[in-house]
Amino acid sequence: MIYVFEKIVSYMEYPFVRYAFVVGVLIALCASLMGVTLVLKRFSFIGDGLSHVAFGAMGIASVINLSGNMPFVLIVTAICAVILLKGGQNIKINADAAIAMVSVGALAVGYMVLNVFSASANVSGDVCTTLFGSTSILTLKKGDVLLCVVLSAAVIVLFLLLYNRIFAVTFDESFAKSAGLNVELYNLIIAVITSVIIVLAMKLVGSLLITALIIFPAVSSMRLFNSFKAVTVCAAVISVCCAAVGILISVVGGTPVGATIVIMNIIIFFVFSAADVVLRSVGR
Amino acid sequence: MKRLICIGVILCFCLTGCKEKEKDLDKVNNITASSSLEFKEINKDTNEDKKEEAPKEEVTKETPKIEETPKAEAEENKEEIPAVPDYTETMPEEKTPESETSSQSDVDIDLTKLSSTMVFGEVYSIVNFPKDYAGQKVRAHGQFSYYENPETKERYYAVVIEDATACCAQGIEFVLSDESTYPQNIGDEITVVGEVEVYGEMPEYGIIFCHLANAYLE
Repeated sequence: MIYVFEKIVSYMEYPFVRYAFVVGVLIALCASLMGVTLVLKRFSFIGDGLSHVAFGAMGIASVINLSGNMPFVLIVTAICAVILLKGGQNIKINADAAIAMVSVGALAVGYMVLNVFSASANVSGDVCTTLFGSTSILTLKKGDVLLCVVLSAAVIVLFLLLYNRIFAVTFDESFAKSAGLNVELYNLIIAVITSVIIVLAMKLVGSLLITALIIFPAVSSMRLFNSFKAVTVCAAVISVCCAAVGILISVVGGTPVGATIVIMNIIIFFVFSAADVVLRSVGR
Repeated sequence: MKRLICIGVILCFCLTGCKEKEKDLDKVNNITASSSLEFKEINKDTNEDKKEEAPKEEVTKETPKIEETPKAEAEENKEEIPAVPDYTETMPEEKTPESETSSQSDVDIDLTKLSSTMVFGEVYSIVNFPKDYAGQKVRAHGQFSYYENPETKERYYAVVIEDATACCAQGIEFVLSDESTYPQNIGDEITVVGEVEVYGEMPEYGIIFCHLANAYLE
């Protein structure tokens, strides 16, 4: 155990490991905060849809040689988030059908563009890294870290400032509207924040595993806690712990970063489920 | 409160289910900084460089979950030297990313001692920011590969390090000091040691070319 600790301490001296740790923890925290709202609004799969849109946008950005592709990806993802979250009110296309259409469409377009037009030396490696996030978190530059820190801080501050309004819009939109809240505006804010988190989280866990970062902490917390505040706090703690431990295990054990973090979330979900069963039987 | 206690009990049960042997940890715990320095001096005098890696492998074998990497398993034959000198290499205050000393004490960055995830990150850093690593000696283990320029017929040799799925591969070009000893077949497993040298750049594309100069194969 001490040897493992020594190894972790020695690995933390590498700048890219420190960057990955800081960014990973911040992204996990932001994802868990919005995850509670998205789960309660029954938009669990929007993370999947938006991540595929971001993949498609990233593919197009890399092919047209955009030097900093994150702003482009952010804008495209935010637009799609607004369309998807507002499209839930469209009775002609259901929300889940809209998410599915956008998700697979963007994935197909992105993969096609990368295959046909890309000049990269290792297209399959780039695609695999973007989809599964195996080691992309370890390739961050200082500028990327600063951008992630600023965006994460903005998301956290916005969430804290608008907590009560987000709570109202999450549980009862009609009541919030009748109480005078600008529900459209807050739904828009939720959509934009979600898109920012999705784009950031792609670096950590990849497109295909982002949903786990958003869903698992919220669902695990809901096994044991009932109030919105308690669920949110517990989800944040779970997400940060799983991300931190997952990154450390991945770095020491040589496992893919994204998959390791998701597996940690799965383990915590089962632990909380077991605790729920035990508490219910004791409560009887 | 009940819930928190229940969660804590279940987490403790999960985390403490597997326990390392105490006496192996005591061995490591008894090593002091002064004795590790003495061993460092002894190791510099010996010519059996490869045996010096055995203690780290012994220590790592005591933690099998960590050492399940192909590179660690390839060095299983080095088992004679006691744990002390290799523990020295893991002491954080004696190691920095740019001056990580290997058991041979002439290599600055030993990629053969890192996990595959760390190797990918470090090689990415070396290849993308080579000026930060210029002059440092690197040891890397991977598959031999080369590329021949169809116009100039010049060959560029590299050691390629892949992850398990072989999709996230990183490679470093190397130039042997003795040209006649390049491997014959692409895919051969090689260990190469060389100094990072920047030999060209294309600023319009943001590319800096580097290789391991004065390299030799182990």
